[in-house]
Amino acid sequence: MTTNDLSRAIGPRSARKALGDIVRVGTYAALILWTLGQVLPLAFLFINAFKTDAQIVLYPLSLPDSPHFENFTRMLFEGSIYQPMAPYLVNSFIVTGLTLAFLTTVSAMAAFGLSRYSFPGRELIYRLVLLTLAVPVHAALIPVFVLMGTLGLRNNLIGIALLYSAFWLPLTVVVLRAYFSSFPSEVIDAARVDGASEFRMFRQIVIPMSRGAISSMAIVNFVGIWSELLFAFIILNKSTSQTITVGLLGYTSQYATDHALVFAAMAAATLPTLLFYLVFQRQITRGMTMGAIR
Amino acid sequence: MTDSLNPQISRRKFLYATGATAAAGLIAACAPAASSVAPSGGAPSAAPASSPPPPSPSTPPSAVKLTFDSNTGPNAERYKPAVDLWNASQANSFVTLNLPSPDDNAYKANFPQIAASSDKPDLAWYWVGGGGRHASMAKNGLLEPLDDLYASEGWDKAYPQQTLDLYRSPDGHYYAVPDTFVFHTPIYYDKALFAKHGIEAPAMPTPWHKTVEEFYAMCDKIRAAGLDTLSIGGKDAWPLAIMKDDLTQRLVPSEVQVDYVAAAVAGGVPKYKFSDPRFIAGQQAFVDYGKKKVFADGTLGRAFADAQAYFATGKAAMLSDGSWAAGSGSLPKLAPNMDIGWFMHPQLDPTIAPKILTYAGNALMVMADGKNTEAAKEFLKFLVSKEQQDMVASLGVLIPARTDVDVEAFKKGNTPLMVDMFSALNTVGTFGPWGDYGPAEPVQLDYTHSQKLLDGSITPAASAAELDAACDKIRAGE
Amino acid sequence: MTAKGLEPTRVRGGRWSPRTLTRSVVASARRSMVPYLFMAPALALMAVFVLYPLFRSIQLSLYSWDGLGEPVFIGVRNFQRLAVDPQFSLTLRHTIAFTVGAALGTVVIGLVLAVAIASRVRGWRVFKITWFIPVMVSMTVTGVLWSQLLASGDTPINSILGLFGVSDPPDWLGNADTTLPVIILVTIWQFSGFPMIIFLAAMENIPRELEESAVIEGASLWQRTRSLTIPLIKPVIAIVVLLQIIFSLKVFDIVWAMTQGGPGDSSLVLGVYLYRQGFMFERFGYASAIAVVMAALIIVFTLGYLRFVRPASYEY
Repeated sequence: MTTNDLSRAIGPRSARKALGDIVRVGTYAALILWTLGQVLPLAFLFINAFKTDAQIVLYPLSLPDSPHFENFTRMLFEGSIYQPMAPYLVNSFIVTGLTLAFLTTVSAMAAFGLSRYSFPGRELIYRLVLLTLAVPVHAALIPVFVLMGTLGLRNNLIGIALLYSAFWLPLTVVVLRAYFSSFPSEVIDAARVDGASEFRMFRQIVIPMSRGAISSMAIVNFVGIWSELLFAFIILNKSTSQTITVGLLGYTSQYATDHALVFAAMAAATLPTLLFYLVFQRQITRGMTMGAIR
Repeated sequence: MTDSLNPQISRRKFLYATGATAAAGLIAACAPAASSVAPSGGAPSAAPASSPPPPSPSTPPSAVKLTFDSNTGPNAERYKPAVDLWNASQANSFVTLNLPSPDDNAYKANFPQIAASSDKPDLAWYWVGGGGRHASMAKNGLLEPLDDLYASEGWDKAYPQQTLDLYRSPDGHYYAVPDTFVFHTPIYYDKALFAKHGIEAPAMPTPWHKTVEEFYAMCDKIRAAGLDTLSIGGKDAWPLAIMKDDLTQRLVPSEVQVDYVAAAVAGGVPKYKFSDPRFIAGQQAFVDYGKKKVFADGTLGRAFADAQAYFATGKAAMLSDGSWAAGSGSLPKLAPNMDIGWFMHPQLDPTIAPKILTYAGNALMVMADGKNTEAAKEFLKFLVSKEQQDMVASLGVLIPARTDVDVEAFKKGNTPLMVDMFSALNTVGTFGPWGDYGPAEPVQLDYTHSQKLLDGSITPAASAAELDAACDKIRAGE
Repeated sequence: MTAKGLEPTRVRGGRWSPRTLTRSVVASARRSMVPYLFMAPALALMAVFVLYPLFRSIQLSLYSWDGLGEPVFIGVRNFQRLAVDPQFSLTLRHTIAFTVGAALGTVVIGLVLAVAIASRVRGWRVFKITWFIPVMVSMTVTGVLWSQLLASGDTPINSILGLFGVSDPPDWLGNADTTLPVIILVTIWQFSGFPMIIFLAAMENIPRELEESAVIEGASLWQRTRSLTIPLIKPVIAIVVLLQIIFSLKVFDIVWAMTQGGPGDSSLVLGVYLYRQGFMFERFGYASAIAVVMAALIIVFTLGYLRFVRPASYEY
């Protein structure tokens, strides 16, 4: 049915409007479908985490008969064929927390230095930072393994936090540099006139005013650090130091016949990032945008 | 860039975000980390572990501290009580069990690096063959020779000759000792389902179809009854490859097989080529299985665990799996009401008797240049002693490798299915397949090819050519 | 912009005692050191953990090493072998196909979603939140979750497709022809929200008046988007495309979690191939050569892209 046919039937303006309505409704339906598509698989994940293994296999799409919280307690605290996940969760929190602490401090300082001062080598250093963004992690994998061994930092949560900080630096520095470039000069000048040292000025004036940008970057980096796999599974080789992403692998291995535990483990690995997001989602959108628009 | 940031709200949120994470982290870091010194889970039996863990013995100050690495899964299950027993009974030796990788693939790939680093344990469980890097570790001097123990403990008599041959490294020394073994690949079936549809399964003393046509006919009957045929974990590739080795055994005379296996230990590659027509016939038999719809629908996308579930829920009438599936924690647990029977893949050549293929590469090794090699060896002696191995037998999950295991103990702890299969080992005879012992790269290639053979993207001849090329690279020392 | 105060501090009355002179010299020395002090920790971290390993990797690519013994120098043999390795060219093809599919898919869909939100359709606030959620899920969890959803046989996705009349769906992750497209689709599912958010912020910077005058002139949403919005945010689109391409070329986690490169190498990408050669086949030299080629590809492409596309930077 073309616009012409429709026009002839009900008049041109109505025709255009009708076609426009169909397109609008169609598009909106597509958007709804996309939303469902985005949300339902995650709903599937969380619902199945409460079913028993048999229920998951036989009735994957139905609701559980009753919420089987024991999936979570078993997954978190029992040994048996799988490792208990609770220590892994704790390690993930530690590593992510430490990394964010190092990362935000160091990158804020570096970004500030790069944006507010001119010194020989500034452009070069900036280009270098930008270029390391382009480098694949895998390129450094094997030497990093050897290096961490030499430094005695394998299985050391502080060690891996330092490693992560180094790799997440480029993106954070680039974004914060853009942010600091737009920072109002008057504030900085005023602080300098008062005789404060550069560092004190940075710490007491600039940082507090930049909390929004810094926390946005922290949130953006959170999920990447939390779910980092390659380095974690090569460098953390004692079960006492492993993170939950590594632990999750064990649930997908050949001994994993209990689907309920797999789903419970995935739910436990995902919940912190989702909660983080839902609470701070406005900050994230701010964090994402600052880097691209520069 | 104008921005309507509200510093007040941002500050609170900022404090929340980084502060909470870091604080939680610091508090948790100060708390004693849940370590593997006191193993969780209680009794070693198959019953769900709900009893509190045994009180961990306090380390006597003069005790030698040993670390023992293992993979997860049934091994970890079996070692935890063994470690406890040792620690409780020893005044001057204390062992900590460590599980470096939650996933077998990760453990296989990463453990050798650990063995070469300052993090190395005193002893460890690891594979001999099986795509692992035992040969490399031995070649690079990372493993302690155990010849003296083989002699003094009588290990040179406690294991089948074939196993001993496999464990002997090219330089004539033993760098590992067998712990448990598995065999493959029986075909499990649901007896009740078969009876209901009037299908007969071959039984002892020759639990196999005499010709492959009989087997195909049985599969047709199963399909006619509305069931799916042979469930197998095609997505993980290795189940297909090791099943393919069964078919190869049926077509390749034993001296060729022996060469394959022995060469795997000696130089890593066999004298015979994969392009030997008899070997190609084995590959072709595998392709024919696919063409005759022996494999269940959707095999290439079905992971190992899902294949078991597919059988356990009665959708497929048969499951191709290893001896581990008959362990009490596996199939019998997944399908508690099923009366599970077993038989073997059909005979393909009237002159070659089917054998049960065993993989005896579940091994224990002591790391070289450690501080406590003598103490580690003592612990090792304990682990593979007859008493310990009898205990393993009674656990009903793994099969001890020693030939002098107490059969009654075995019967007591294992399901009737497992006992049945175990007793067949001696009457039917066993063999070690190449795919289990060859070097990593050709074996991995073989795994990939087993998938490609089924979906038609490679022919047996082309596959053989590639395998030969991979072996040539190793012969050339690359 | 240099810091004020590089001049020596003056004492009231203009007299210079030795003490103030020293203090001011030290102060100005300290001041010129300041930017370096700010940069120091970051540079140190990067030098140790990123640059040094990168350098070692390049070095290792010239050796043959089994990871356990001593590396043996072999010059450019690894690169020569790479050039004739059929699996490597297969891997490259897969990686490029993945990159094109994933980058294009996420950017185009992200754009559509951003336009939808920016035009304030009903429920846009809910959309804005939900469309970004999958980005926050780890790639490993996504891989495992979708493997479950797509497993062969009687599974959720196939059941839903059955409702739509698709009765004999292929074995999504078991059929060599469908694995890579499926992985691309899952990646698009997960990451479309990322470009969406960036485009959205850029769109919100478009002055209201332009939008309003276009509406007054009777332009439809499609016309407005095509002639007004897109040209105005072109630099942002260019940058986002670049970022997506770089991330796609480096992909590992999701492929490993879903298929490990199989079945039959049908979804083998560079990251997985590198891992396999190094950690499974003990060819760390060869794996390093692959890594060097990967890094070189990405860097050369990035530099070329930046020069050619010239995304304008809005420096303030």
